[in-house]
Formats: sequence, structure tokens, C-alpha cells
Amino acid sequence: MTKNNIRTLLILVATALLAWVLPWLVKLSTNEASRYPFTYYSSVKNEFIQVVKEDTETRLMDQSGHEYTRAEYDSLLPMLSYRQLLKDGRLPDSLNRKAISGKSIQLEQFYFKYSPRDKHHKQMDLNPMFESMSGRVQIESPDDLFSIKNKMVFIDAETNSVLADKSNKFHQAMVKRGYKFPTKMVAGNPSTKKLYDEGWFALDANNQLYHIKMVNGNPFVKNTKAGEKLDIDFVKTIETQNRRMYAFVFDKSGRLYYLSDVSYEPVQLPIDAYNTNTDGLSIMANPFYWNVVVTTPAQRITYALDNHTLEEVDRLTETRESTTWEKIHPYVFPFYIEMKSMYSKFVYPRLLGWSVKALALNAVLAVLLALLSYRRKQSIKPLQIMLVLCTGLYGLIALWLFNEKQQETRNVIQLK
Amino acid sequence: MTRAIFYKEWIKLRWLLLAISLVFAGSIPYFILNLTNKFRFAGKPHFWSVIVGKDLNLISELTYIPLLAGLIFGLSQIVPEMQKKSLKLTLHLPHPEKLTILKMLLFGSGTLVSIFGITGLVLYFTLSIYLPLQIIGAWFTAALPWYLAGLAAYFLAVWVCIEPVWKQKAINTLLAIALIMLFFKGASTYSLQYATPLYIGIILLSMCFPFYSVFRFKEGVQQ
Repeated sequence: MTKNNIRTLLILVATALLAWVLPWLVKLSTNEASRYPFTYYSSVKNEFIQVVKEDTETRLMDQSGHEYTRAEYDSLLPMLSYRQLLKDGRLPDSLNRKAISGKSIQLEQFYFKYSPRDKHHKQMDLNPMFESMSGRVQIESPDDLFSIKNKMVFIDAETNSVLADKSNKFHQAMVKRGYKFPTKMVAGNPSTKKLYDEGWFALDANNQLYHIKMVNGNPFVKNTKAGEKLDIDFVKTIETQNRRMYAFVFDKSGRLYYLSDVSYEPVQLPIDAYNTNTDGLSIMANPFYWNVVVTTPAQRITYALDNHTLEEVDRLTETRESTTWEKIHPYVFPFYIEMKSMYSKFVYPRLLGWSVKALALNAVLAVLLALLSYRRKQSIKPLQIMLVLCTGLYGLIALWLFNEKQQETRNVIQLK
Repeated sequence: MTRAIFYKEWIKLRWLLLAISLVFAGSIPYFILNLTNKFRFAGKPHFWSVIVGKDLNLISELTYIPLLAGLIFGLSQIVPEMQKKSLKLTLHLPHPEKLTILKMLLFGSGTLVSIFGITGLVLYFTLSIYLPLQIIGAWFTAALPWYLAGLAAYFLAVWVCIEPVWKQKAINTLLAIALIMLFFKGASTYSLQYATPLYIGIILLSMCFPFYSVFRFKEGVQQ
């Protein structure tokens, strides 16, 4: 291990750190909010209505640019503003030849949200198994939690010990139904503040999706057979007033389904290919339409789907303007490192934004370095020039940080 | 000579070692008392649900303690050597210089790893009386980067302290801060689990850095 070897290591470490810090500083100074306007499909006008925020002004407008007052906006979107309309006594008795009331709207209304961060994160392998048929209005928290990774095990909180009987009963019921450990994924709602309990959906080692819940203290285990029809990527459960569905299921080829309450039949949503790693999804449903909003890194597509047939009625595609950072980084940085990601909760270095356009600046910097070395009557080092050519500003600054002046190195003593 | 170097370091650092050991050992009853207190107030079943549901980590107060320990230990080992100019004497001992520095670093990192390891294990096994392995495993997955940060901070502190030129000292400090920041990027329990190889890499690299400062010190590099 010579001094020069360690210096090379230091330069490389400094280059990598600068590839993380410099872009972060640039982003920090140029950050700007680029939000899409809130959009909802009007069941009165049959077109998308948007809430556009411009500086301090908020404009409520349709697709032809016509502006509305707040009261007009509420009337155009009775499914969204029904509570306000009820308060004002303005909620119509019927709409599109269908009788409506606050209760009937509530029954068919639900909100579902998915973010790539739901998939790319890890939780403790402990969950509560609620009693699904307790007969109580309020769901009660059990005194134990279950672990499902390698074996179905219930652990009692009071004694911090395994409940052997309960664990065996559930484990045997699962194995009897063909469940193969280890579990790949478990989906459910651990909150007691939900409309009802439907237990958990677990993806077993054979990619089969099982429904597991506790009914009257006994295990209920059923293979939903969804795993036979779909190559399941991710499952997120939902509770709706009308109990129409158990969960939304994303498959690995980018299709989105909901798991129907009728024999767990997967029903496909007619939306374009979906990427669970980068695309956000929100669904706002009402008795007439589902507003399905898919936000990809480049654009947002809002679909209006018919509530009953699930056929596409309308769609609105909006593209996002590039931010200052997106405009400048390809010319300044050949790549950059990010530790965090908006698509994942995991922190690790990610090499992003490879750009050939930055080679022009890198070449100029490399020539500059060669000229400087020549002026200082130092020998031009090809490896240093290569570093600056490949890493640009990062490499040049790192070289400057660990630059050894001639007089510094004059008195070289070899360590024993 | 190894024993002599270790003895020299022991004489210099024994009281600090005792203080650091006491802080780490003292944190164990604190964490247990804190946990049992919360159990009494909220009830065990409810509090387990809170821990799982809210991704609560009751040993998170430990976050910056290993970092401080590593930093103080590194500074206390080298600053006196630099002030009394005894590093120059140490490097003139009838013993290879690289080995002398290596043994000093081994003493420092070895004692830190021992303190972190022993107190960490005792905390782990004591907590396992009250909590299931799923919870403690998650907490210690989150705590691993904090301990590793302490070790990295030790090597980086030695690197900065031995550097003879003030301008370079400042640059090294900035670089060391950036490196240490990488260890504290976690927001949830498991968020840093894939970053462990990076942290091991940083520690291995930062073990080499002090030798660069020693080379420069030995060469008598000045402003």
C-alpha cells in the first residue's frame, strides 16, 4: 500500500461523493413544484373538470377553458361534492335517470391509492389476525400477532411466547389447503378503524394467492385461484361499502385487476400497461364513474371508466413540463448518484441520468486540466485526463482536492 | 512490540474507554425501563401493535451515540500525540511505521467493536425477554448502520487528525462529514438494509486513509 495508491483511492471516493453531493445541491437550488391539477370526471357534463392552481389564484375549469364559480363546480361534480350539496339542499334526486341520495353515493364510493413505495419497502413480519365475525361494530385488537414468513406462528404479547394450539390450527389448515411456505407477500389492513375485516391475502412460494382470516376463532383458508390466472406482482387490499371487491392486483405484465367478491374472480381494468416500479395510481369511484389516475414519470393519464361495465368512457393525457434540473443535468453531469428514491423506501446508491451530452463539457475540462499541468510544468497524466473525460466536474474537483504540489512531494520518504 | 503499543494506548485511553463502556452499558437498563414503562401504560398487546403499525423503534435514541463514541475515541487517541509531538517519536520506534500505526488503529477499532458488540448483544438478548425476534431483528437491522458509523467515524477522525496541513485537514473533514452522512439516511426500520455492503466498503476504505496522512506527516508536508 503506497501513498499514491491511497491517494488514488481518495480521489475515487471524492469523485463518487461529489457525484452525489453536487447534483443534490443543484436540485436543492432549482427545485420547483410540478403538480398536475386535480381532475374529476363530471357525471353532469360528461367531461373532465380541473382545479388549476396558478400562483395565488385557483381556477375551476373544464377542458374548453370555461371557468366556473365554486357553487357551479359543486353542481357539476355532485358525486364529489354531494355532502356540500346536501348541506345546501341542492343535491338532485336523480342523475342520468338514476335515483341518488347521500347513502347511495356513499355505498358505491371508494378511494384507492397505490405508490411504488408500497411495493419497495419492508415491514416487520407481524400482523394482527382480527375476528372477522365478531358481531361487534368496532373491530377489536387481538392480544397476539402472527408471523407468516416461514411458518404460521401466533405470538402472545402478554407472555412473549408462541401460542402453540392456535399456531398449529392455522398452520395445518393452510398446509391442508396446499399453501407452500415461505410466504412471498402478505396484504391486508392492520387497522381497527375499517369498515369490516376480511383478514389477509398471502402469496405463497408457488405464487398462489390465499385468503386467510379468522372466523369464530377458527381458520378460514382459501386459494383464490388468482395465482393460476395471473402472474401476480403486487396485491393491495381495500374495503368498500358495497363489498364489491377484496383487493387490487397488479400482474407482472403491467395489467391491473380487482379481485371480485364473486369467487375471487380477477376483473381487468382497461388501462394502458402499468409499471408498479415507477407509476402511481389513484382511483376515485362513484356510482357512475371510476376516475382512474395513472401518473408515470413523464405524464399523467386520467381515465373515466363506467362504474358497471368498467369500459373506458373518456381519458385525459397530460404531459409534465421538464424541471430546470431535468433540462440542465444532461449537459453538466455525465451521471449522478442518488441515495433515496421517490419510488422506493430503500436507501442505497443508484447511478442515474447517464448522458452522452455531458461529454462535451468533460472534454473541455480535460483540455483545461492538460493546459494547467503544462503551465505548471507538471507532467500530463493520462489517467487523470481519462478520469475527467469520464466523470467531468466530479473528477476535476476530486483531483484538485487531493492535488499534491511539487514542493510538498519533494521530500519523499518511503515508510518502512 | 505489539504488547508495548497496546499498553501505551491502554494507558492513554483507559479512562475514556471506561466512560464509553459505562454509557453503552447504562443505556441497556434505560431501554428496558423505558420499554416496561410503556408496557405498563399502554398494555403489552396494544403497545406491540403500535410498534408494528407505526414502525416504532424504541432504541432509536442510540442513533448518534456510536458515532460520538467513535469520534471522541479517534480524537482522544491522536490529538495528544499531535500536541505533544509524540507521533514523531512513535514513528521513530525500532518497529515498521506502517505496523505501528496499524496496531494503534487495531487497538482503537478493536476496543470499539468489543464495546459495540458486547453491549449490543446484551441489549439484544435482554430485549428478547420482552419482545419477539421479529421486532428486535427489525430494530437491530436499523441500528447496524449506527454502529458501523461509529467505526467509520473513528478511522476518519484519525485520518483528519494526523493530516499535517490545515487546508487539507478542512477538505478531509468535509469529505468525512459527507461519508458519515451516508450512514444516517434511513427513514424507516428496514430502509438501510441494502446499504450494508456500501457501509462495509466505506469502513474498509477509511481504514486506509489514516496511512495517507501518516505518509504526508512523515514527509513533513507543510502549508
